[in-house]
Amino acid sequence: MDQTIHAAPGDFRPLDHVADIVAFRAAVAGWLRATVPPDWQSRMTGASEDSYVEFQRWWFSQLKFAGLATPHWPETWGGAGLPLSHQIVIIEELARIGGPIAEMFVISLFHMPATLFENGTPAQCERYLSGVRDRGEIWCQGFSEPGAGSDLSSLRTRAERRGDVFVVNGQKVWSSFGMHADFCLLLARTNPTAPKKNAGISYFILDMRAKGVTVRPIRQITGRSEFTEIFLDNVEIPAENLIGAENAGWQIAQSTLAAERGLLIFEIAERMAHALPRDYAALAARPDRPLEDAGLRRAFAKRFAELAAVRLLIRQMIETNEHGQDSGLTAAVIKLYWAQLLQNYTGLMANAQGLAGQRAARLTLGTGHNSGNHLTDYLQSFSWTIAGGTNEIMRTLIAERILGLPRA
Amino acid sequence: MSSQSDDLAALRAAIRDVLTTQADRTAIRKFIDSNAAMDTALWVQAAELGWFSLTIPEEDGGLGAGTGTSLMLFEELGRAVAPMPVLGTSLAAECLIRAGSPAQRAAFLPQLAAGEQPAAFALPDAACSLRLSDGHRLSGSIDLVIDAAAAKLAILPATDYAGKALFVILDLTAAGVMVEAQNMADLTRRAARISTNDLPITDAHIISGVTEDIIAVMTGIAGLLLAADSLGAAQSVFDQTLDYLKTREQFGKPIGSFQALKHRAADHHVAMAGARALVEHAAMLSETGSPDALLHAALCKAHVCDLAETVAIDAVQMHGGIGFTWEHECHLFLKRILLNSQLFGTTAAYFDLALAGLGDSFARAA
Repeated sequence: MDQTIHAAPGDFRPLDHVADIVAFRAAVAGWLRATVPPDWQSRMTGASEDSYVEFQRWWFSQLKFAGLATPHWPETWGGAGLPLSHQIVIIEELARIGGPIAEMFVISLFHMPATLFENGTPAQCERYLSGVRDRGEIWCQGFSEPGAGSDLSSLRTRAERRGDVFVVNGQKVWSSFGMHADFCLLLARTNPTAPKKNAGISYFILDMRAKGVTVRPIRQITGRSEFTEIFLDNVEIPAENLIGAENAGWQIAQSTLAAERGLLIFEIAERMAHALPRDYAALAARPDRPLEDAGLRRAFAKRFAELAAVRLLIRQMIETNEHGQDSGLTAAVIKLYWAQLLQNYTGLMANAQGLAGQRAARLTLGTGHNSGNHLTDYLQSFSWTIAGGTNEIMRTLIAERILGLPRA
Repeated sequence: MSSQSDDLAALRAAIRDVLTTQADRTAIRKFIDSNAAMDTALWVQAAELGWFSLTIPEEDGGLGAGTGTSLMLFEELGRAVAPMPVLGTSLAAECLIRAGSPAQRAAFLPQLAAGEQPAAFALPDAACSLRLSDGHRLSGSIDLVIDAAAAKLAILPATDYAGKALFVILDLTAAGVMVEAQNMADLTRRAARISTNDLPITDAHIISGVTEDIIAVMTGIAGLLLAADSLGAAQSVFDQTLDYLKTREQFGKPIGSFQALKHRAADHHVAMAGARALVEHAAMLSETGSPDALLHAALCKAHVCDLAETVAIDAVQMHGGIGFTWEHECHLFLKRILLNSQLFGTTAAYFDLALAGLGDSFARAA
């Protein structure tokens, strides 16, 4: 698929305006207007997987040209080292223009670096951060297993040390974009006899092209195959690919999981804040006047209130995080709030379409939860109520760790 | 900014301290079992501490603090289920500030700021039949005016002979004004039916030029104060419920260890966090005179009062049999919250008020 570049990215140079946030915002917005193809959503509707992957790689390369692919990474590692205020500006402008979500690079840009910055060796950081930064390497996450979902610490994928390598056998599941990934953040059991289940887990970098790795896409309820299962059959991982100490993987995984809480949810909430007025205008313009239905109208107002609330909570959390004061528990509150809001809102909009909304639709890829097809967005919303800790796991966490209710 | 929020936190602590000691369980029960219109000792103390002057402008004899301060006070009043007619007094003052003439402000605001007497306020609704004849005589009645049982002054809606909306400032102690106290299901606040027949009203007591905008602004302010009251009450009854979940044992363990209850508690906590953020945001919009202020005030009333109901209802349920008793405090919170949801407009009406401004707000943001 031909991706025309409409303007030389150098025309705008957002990073030249870091000292002046107003000019920085204008440069980001100008660059986005010149770069994001206005018809990208229609081009990605019903697109093949191959052309979508090509589009994602193209988008990542454009971000990289503008210096906006790794704005949050420290300069030491080739990032822009931008303060949070500037990262927020980038996300706000992306949401405003409805640009593509670089969803195939989420683990590459957030989880992998968050893990390595804190726990990686200098050699690991050098090799893998440059891989993302310079070569656009794609990462996936190998945490969940068929028998270890909410109860992640019971995972059974086994890694046994034999000389310079760990030999790994087992199965991982729900790994997004595993079929396109170059590397995987892998949790495996290295000490099956540890007194506590989570004390015998180690954290590895897995090369997805290693012998014995088989990836199979899983088709989701939306019809799309975004995630995969990964089979590991006597896969050899060099010992240098162990992250942190042997059997210390569980603690390290907490920093991985904390990486996505904050900016990613900020981004999709900002996108929803732009989608909601469009949805409202569409309802208001319909000849059958759906807003005259008091139930629908007031439910919409309620969702609007909840969106305002969650955006405020997210901003509060981001500010707290910048001062390094957040315990991580606020993130659980926000995730639970957001997951329910997203599901309720997309469900409301799907219902508001009546029978017409039930028509089978071709998928628009890369739009997150604002594909323009409400039923698809609704179905997709279940990913937030389940992935990264189900709503029920979040409730237990909040009840026990924030409210101090006793364990069962 | 931070010293401002420190000041607010200090003021909150001082107010909470007074309410914890003066409006404790015993004092509230005493008030409930009495026929008194209000707890006078508590009112006098609050007046001396300047609670009623907080958001009245300095030129009118007040301290000129912003909406955030006002909402903090109401949150604390709700938290304590304080038996005090502050809502009516605050709204009467707000009405004078927004719509009163300079002479009316000078005549009435200083005494309201000083807390010399409680006041009441009502918005026009279908149940109000007050009419002002062309000879400036007021006849008719208005039912269920909140806080009017204790009030000495009331600002009430009426229509003139031409059908125009106005407010009359009524001395409730004057001859020819009948005030019948009305007990509410909410045991902590009392209302009254006010009626007059051919009562002469001077120009000085008429607020004319009452536009739809003024009505909308007052509806928004009332909504915000009620949202804050319900937020405080809901947080308080929720905190008590958490304590109960941790200490009440059945099947040999604290009932808070059971997932069915634990998960509901988590849901309430999450929803309350959002509600608190909405109230703080609405206060900020009001203080900065944002064009979105009314929209968010209305949203707060609808959303927060509604949520508070959910939390209070579940507080009774999670307390089990004891929560259903008169002796236990749960019902004081539940009833106050249920009344808040109906005052100055239902949840549905406030959602519709918010929706009416949504299109314009979206257009401004675009």
